[in-house]
Amino acid sequence: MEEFFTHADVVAIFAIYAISLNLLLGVAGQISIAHAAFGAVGAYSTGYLVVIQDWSFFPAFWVGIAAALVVGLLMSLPALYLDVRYLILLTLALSTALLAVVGAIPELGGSYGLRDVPNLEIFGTTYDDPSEFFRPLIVLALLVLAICSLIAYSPYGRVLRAIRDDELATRGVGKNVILYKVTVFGITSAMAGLAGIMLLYFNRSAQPGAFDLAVSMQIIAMVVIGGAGNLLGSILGATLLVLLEPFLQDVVNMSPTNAALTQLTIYGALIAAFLLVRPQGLLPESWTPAAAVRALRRSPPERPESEEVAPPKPSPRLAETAGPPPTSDGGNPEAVLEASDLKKYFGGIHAADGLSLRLPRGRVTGLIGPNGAGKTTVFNLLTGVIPLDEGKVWLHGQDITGWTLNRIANAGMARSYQDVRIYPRMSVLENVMIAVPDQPGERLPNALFRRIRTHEGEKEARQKALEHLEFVGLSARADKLAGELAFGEQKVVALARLLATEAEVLLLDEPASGIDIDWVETMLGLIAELRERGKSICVVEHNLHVVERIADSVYFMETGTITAEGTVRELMQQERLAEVYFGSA
Amino acid sequence: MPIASLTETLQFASDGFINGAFYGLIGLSFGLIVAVTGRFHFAWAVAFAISGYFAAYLINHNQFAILPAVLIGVAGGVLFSVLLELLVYRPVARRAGPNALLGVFVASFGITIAGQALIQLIVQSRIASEPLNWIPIDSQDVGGVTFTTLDIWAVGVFWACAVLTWALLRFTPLGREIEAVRVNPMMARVVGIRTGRTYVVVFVIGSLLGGIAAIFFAMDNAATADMGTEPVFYAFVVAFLAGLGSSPLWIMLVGTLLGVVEGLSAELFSPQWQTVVVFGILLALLVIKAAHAWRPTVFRIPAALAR
Repeated sequence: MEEFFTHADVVAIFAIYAISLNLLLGVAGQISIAHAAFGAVGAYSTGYLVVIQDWSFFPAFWVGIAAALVVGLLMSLPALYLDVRYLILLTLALSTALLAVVGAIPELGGSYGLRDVPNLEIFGTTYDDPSEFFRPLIVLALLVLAICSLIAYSPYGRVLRAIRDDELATRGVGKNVILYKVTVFGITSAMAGLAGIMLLYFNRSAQPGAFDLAVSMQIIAMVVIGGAGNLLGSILGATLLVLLEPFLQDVVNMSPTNAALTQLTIYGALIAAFLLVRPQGLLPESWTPAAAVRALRRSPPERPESEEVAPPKPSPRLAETAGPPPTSDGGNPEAVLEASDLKKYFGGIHAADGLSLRLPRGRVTGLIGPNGAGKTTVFNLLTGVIPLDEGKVWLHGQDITGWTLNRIANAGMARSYQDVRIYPRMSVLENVMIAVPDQPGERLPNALFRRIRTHEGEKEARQKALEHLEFVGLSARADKLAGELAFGEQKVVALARLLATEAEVLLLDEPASGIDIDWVETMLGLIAELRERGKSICVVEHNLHVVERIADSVYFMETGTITAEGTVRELMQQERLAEVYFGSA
Repeated sequence: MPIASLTETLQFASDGFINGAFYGLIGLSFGLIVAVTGRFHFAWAVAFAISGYFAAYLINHNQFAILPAVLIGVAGGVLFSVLLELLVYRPVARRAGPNALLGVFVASFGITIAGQALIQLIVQSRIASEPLNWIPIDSQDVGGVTFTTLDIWAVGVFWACAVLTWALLRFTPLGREIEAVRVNPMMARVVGIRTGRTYVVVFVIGSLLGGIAAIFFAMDNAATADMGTEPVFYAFVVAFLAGLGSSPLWIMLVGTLLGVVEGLSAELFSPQWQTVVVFGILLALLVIKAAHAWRPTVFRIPAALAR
C-alpha cells in the first residue's frame, strides 16, 4: 500500500505542475519551458527557510509561493515583447541560470542540494509516510484543479483562449492582453512553486536535477499527451507518464536501469508520435465527461448534415437602403473621427505622408487607392496597431494619439481585418461574446469568487451576442466551431463580433474580398443597415462597384497621402485617378 | 576575488579562446538550421552524440580504422537529422500551422530524450563512455600558458569549417539559394527554388559541422550517449547572441568571445559560476531585446540583436 501511495503522491505533484502549465500553455497559449524551475524557486525558498532558518511550515510555504509568483511575474514582462523563438530561449535561460545559481550557492547545498528537510507538519499533525502525505497533497491538487477550472471555463478563460488564438484580434475587441498574460503567468508560476514545495517535502530534499529542463519538458509532455487545453487531460498525462516507469519495473519485470531508459524512450517517442498523429492529445480541448456521456447516448445522424450554407438574404428594407449613395454635397455632418497630418515612415517608404481625413457621423466613407497606397496602414495607424511618427487622431473630439488598440476599441472605434481573424477553435457564439464589453466574469476576482455575478453577466453577454448573430443572420450557426464555417460566413461572424464591441466607429478592411457574389450582397445589406443605425463606417475596398453602392463619400489615396475626395463616380471621371487606380490595381 | 597573476589570466583566456572556437562552430551548426528552416532542432544533441559516440564505438568495439569510423559516425549524425526533417519536423510543422515552431521544438525534445535513452539501451552492456584517440593530446607551453596539440588542431579545423561555410554561403549559387530561403521562403518558392530540398541541404551542412565538432569533443572528453546535451545549450546561446542569419565568421567571433568571458569568469568568481555567467548574459540580452521591442526609441540595441 505504501508503494501505491508513493506513486499517488508523485502523480499528484506532477498533476499540479501539469494542470497549471496547461492553463498557461494550453489555454492561454503562453510558452514556458521553465515550469519546473518555478518549482525550484518555491522549493528552495521554503527549504532554505525551514532547514537553515528554522522557520515553521506555513510562513515558509507562503514565502515559497510568493517567491515563485514574483519570479513568474518578472519573467512575464520581457515575455510580453518577445516572439516565440526568443520566448523559448528566455525560459530556457531562466531555467538554466536559476538552477546554476542554486547549484553554486553553498548555503543551498550546491549541486547536492538541500537535505534534512523535516517531515511536513501542519497544525501539529505530522505527515511522515506516503499515505499520510497524500491527504494534504490531494487537497492541494484538487484546489489547483478547481482554481484552474474556474479560470479556464469562465469569461476570463475565454479571453485567455482568444489571446492564444489571435492576440491582435483580442486587443481589437478591447481586451487588455498584457494584464491577462502577466496575471496568468504569475498564477501558474505560483502553482508550480506549490508543486516544488510539495516535492521538497515528499523527497525531504531538493536537488537542482529535480527541477531541470528535462523535468520541465516532462511536464510539457504530460500536457501534450493528455491534451492541451483540457485540464483533466493533464491529470491523465501526469498519471500515464509517472506510472510508466513503475509499470515497466513491476509488471514487465525490467531492471530499474532498463525500466528508466525504456520509460524515457517511450515517453520521448510518445511526444513526437502525438504531435504527428494526434496533436490534440488524448482528451481534446472540448472533451468533458458530460459531453462524452451525451455523445454515447446520442444516436448517430442518418445522413451527414450538409455544410453548404446559403448566405442570409438581406431584408427588403436592407435592399432598399443598399441603393446608390447620396452625392457628396448632401450636408456636412459632425465628424466623429478626425486625423490630421499622419506620418509614418518605414525607412525610405512613406506609408503615411501628411495624411488627413475625417469620418462624418452616420455615414459610410470609402478609402480607395491602388495596391500599396497604404490604406490598411491607415487603419493600423488610426487604431494604434502601428505607432505614428507624427500627427494627431481625435475620436469624438478626444485626442487618442498614442493610445493602445484595446483602449481605442473601448473608446468606441473598432476594426475588422482582411484576413478575418476569427477564433477558429471557439464557437461562433463565443467569437461574438468575447467582444461584449464590461463582462463581470472577465475580471479574475469575479471569475473566482463571485460566481453568481459572473453567471448573470454571462447570460447577458450571451443574449447580446445572439442578438448580433440574429442581425447578421447566423444565429442558427451559433454553436458551430467558427473554424468550420465557410469564408463568407467567417467574414459575417467577424462583423457580428465587431458590432458586439458597441463601437460607434467601424473600420472595415476589405469586407467584400474573397467572398462570392451572394455573400457580397449580404455584406452590403448589413453595412447599409448599420449606417441606418447611426454607425460611422470607413471601408477599405478594392471592388469599386461595392464602394460605389455603399459609400457616401470617398477618399482617394496614393503613396501614403489623400489626393482626392468625392464620390466614386466623380473620382473615376478624373482621367489621372482612373489611370493610377486601374493601371496599378 | 582578485586576479592571481597575468599568466593565470592568460591561461583562462587561452582556454576560453579554445572553448570559444568550439562554441562558435556548434552555434553556427545549430544557428544555420534554425535561421533557414525555422526548426528548433533540439535533437541536434542526438545527432552530435551519434557522430561522436558511434565513431568511438566502432573504433573501440568493431576494430574499424579511425578515418572510416569517423566518416560513418558523422554520416550517421547527418542522416539522422535529415530523416528527422523529412519524417517528423515537416509533418509536425504542417499539422501545427502557426504553432509550428513550438510543435517542432517539443517533438524534437521528445526525440532527444528517446534517442539518448535508446542509445544507452542499445549499448547498455558496453562501457558507458567511449574514448576516441586520434590526434595526440601533447601538452604545449608558450610563456607559461599551456594547451594541447589537439587544441591547435581543433581551433584550426573549426575556423576552417567556418570560413568554408562563409564562402559557400557567400559565393556559390547554393549559398544564394539558402540565403533566399532564409530571407523569404515564399518568394524563394515563387522564383523556382525548391525550399524543401534547400531545408534538407541545410540540415546536411549544419549536421556535418556539428559532427566535426562532435569528433573533436569526443577526442577531448570521452564520448557518451548524452554528450550533446550541454553543447546544444551553448549552441542555442551562441546562435541567438550572434543573431540568426548572421555571417558564420561573426558567429565564430561571438562564440570565441563567449568562451573567453566564460573562461575569465571562472577566474573572477569560481568555475561553478561559469554557467550562471553565460546564461545570465543571455538572459540580460533577452531582457534588453524585450525592452527594445517595448520602447524602441528608448532602448536602442545593435541591429544584430534586434533580429
